[in-house]
Amino acid sequence: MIVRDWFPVLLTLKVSLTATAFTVGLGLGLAWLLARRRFPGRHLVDALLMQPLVIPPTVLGYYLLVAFGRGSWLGRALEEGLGLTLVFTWRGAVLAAVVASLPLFVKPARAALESVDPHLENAARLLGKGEWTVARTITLPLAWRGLLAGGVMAFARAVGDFGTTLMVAGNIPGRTQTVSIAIYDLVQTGNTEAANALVLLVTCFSLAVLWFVSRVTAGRF
Amino acid sequence: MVRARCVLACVLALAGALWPEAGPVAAAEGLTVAAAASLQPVFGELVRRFEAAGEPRVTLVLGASGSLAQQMRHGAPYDLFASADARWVRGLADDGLIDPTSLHTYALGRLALVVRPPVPLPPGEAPLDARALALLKAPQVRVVALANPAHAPYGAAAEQALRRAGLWRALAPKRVYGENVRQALRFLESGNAEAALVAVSLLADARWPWRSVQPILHAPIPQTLGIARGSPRAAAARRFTALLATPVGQALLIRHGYEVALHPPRSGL
Repeated sequence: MIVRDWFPVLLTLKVSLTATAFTVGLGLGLAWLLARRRFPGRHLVDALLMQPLVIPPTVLGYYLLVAFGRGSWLGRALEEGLGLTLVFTWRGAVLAAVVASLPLFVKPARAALESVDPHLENAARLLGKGEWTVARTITLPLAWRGLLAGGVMAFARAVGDFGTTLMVAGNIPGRTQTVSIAIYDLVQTGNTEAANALVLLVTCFSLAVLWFVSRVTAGRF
Repeated sequence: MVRARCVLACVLALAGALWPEAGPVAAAEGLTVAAAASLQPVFGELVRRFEAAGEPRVTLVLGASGSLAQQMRHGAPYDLFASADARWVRGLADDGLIDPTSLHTYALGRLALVVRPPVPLPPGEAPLDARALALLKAPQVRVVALANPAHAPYGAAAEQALRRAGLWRALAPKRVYGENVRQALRFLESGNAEAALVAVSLLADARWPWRSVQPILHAPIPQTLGIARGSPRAAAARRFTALLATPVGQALLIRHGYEVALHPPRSGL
């Protein structure tokens, strides 16, 4: 076997699935807020949410490290209050992946929600349906393509995160070493064969994801 | 919609199936050792012996000493920190992150120049002096790799040696920094640098011609370690560091080019 250690692959799946769950939960609320509500500072929230797309991953990682690290009141409060250590643990990798992948979900999710005809929702409301029922039976079924595409893109982004994860979770073999970080490590130590195998795996995975997203958005599923 | 639910169910099932195996439970009880990249050959072997003796599992985290120290400041869970110099460990001890009574300098590191043929090394075996280092000015040396002097001790030593040889400025266009000394060597191995200033300790099995650099050209590189204050695995960390003083540990250090004190002071000094 060229790849001797499969831990990074399992860890990456665990981190990115957890992160996607958070991203979709949090992102759905934010996308709905941005699509349906007019509130002051809406554009600022939108700009802040899109930051991870353009800001260098190291800067993002540095922000998270400073905000959630040992030196911050937030990091200490989480550690002492809830026993939750984020930095240099796999949860830190989840945090990095959530922040990095949030814009990739919110953008298409918001577009999908905006594309739902408000007349249909209003018709349901006229028939006496509550907001929750409207969302569940009208909005979400009509927007599901965009939501699914966004979710899959967010998952792929979570799988591929490197810079932010490295800053927040470090490179601890068997604990926080995800696939992208393992590749960096293998290249650095000259283990080209194992690096190539993982590179191939990641490349096939991202190709499959983009193919899937392209088919979903084209209405082929 | 049905298909989407199907996909979701599959994903959740997969997540459930993977959860226990991917959990960091097994590693959590072991010892986490952060070591300078230059210590990899010695510490890798020590870890093998330590584990073979029925001791806890060891996770070895390698990197530039300065980067590892900075990670510890931010809360990285390292039980033991083996730096390639004294500066970074002392800094952590001053900040209360490392138990000051555990500080221990066990060897001196040596700097070496590695080259890719056809770049010639001077004939003989003598360590390179300031004049010999001038070979780096030759046009066939297009890139000289070294570790980043800002946070890698061997990078700092390389900078001092090049400055003392009066070459630092002249080599400015050729200098390329690796994040740590292992990466600097990697630049040479992958054919992207014709010369590299790295630790002798990485060159025991090197395929490339190399020669040590005279130690008077740079400040000493005291290999110093310390145990994290309050580490629940401090006792295991002490047993691990004790390996360095055994004949096997000393032989390993010597084989990898470290200078060890043959009659180390017992205590106090």
